[in-house]
Amino acid sequence: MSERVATTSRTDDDAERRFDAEAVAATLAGRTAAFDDLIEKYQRRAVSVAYRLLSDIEDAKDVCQDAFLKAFRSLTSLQEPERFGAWLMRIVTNLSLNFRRGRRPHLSLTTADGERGLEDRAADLSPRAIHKAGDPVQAAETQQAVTAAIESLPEQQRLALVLFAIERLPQKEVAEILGCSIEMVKWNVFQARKKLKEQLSEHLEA
Amino acid sequence: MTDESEQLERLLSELHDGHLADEQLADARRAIAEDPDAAATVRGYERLDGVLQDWQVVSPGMDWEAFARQVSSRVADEAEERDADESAKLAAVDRLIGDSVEPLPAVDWDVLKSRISRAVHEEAAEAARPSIKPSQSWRRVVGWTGRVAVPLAAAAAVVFLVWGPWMGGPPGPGVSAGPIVMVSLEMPDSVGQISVTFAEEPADGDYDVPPLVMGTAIAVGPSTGNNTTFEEPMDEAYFY
Repeated sequence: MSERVATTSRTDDDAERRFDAEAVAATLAGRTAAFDDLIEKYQRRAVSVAYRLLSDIEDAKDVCQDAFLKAFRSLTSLQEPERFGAWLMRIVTNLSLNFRRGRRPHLSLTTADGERGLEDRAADLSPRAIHKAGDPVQAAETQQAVTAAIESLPEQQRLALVLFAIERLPQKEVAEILGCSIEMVKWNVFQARKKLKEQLSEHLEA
Repeated sequence: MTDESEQLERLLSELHDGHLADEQLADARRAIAEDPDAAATVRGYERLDGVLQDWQVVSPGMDWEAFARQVSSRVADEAEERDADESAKLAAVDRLIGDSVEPLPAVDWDVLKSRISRAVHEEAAEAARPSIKPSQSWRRVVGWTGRVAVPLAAAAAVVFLVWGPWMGGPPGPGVSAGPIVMVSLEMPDSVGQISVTFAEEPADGDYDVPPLVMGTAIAVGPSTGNNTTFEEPMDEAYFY
């Protein structure tokens, strides 16, 4: 596996931020269509994070729609328009966590997964996951085990893991989203990985 | 697990995160080369990373354009509702203002002018008191009220000692009026003491009221004949 490399240069980052700031300014000036640019830019990341926190794509889409609406309504309170992305992801994670807490117990992540057959779950898996496992059912089993293991993590560890180790967001942005230090993000990611490595040991064997 | 092995495991788990310093990377690579357990640990984390990357990936078939249209439409509705709300509020305010506009009642402008002018002159006269600016004057009033209470209370106590039985009010019916005593608090001397001067006056006599710039207490009734002294270190600021 190659070491993670920065995919964007500082110049790209600056351009991204300028894009966000301009879209926010235009929206605030009354050009609502400018907000579409922000939806277009961030929808994939938002849905992906929400899905990993909620394990249900329809719930994730609903939460993300609410998150975009909430961001639109609160746009005037955004202190740094160039940080729109991190701000939106903070809204997405908060709404996802609230959604999870408000979900009826029998619809919780693990129970809902447990109620579905492995064949059903296998249908949702990515071709890469099935290819790696060599068998859709086995792949589904691994996915179910991963879900249960991630579900058992403390909230901050789960969020840090999803945002940094899975979604690959920069540590600084994860710290911003979670409202903690970069060092705390690193520590939470390490703790989460260590626990998962232990809990999933039989699924990690070569 | 010792602190050292915990630190090494953390280092190995972060090997692919891209934030390790060159020195840390060198330490990690050395450990992997020299220690089979360290190498196995790294492999474990690499497999975990691979499994996590495949975990709950949004289906490639997801219709992002449709989703964006849906969100965009909701945002547009929201904006429209908000604009409509704003317009409705503004219209309501306009109506309220329109409904409530009434002709101005008749005003006697000369009377109003005199009233304002008098108030301004009074204010100007107050401000023109020698060497005291209004703000200073106000501070002094506040300071005096707060702090002169101490010497006045002390003076009252002195008066009570000397004319104690009569304190509490003027003589009632059938009781002959006693002499009136003026107790004046004078400016503190250089060692910070104040002196209290008693000036007994006949009940029906004429007397001069000392200037009120000093603390003044008045007692009515006969003297007890006791002498008393009153010495208390004072701050000059107690007096103005």
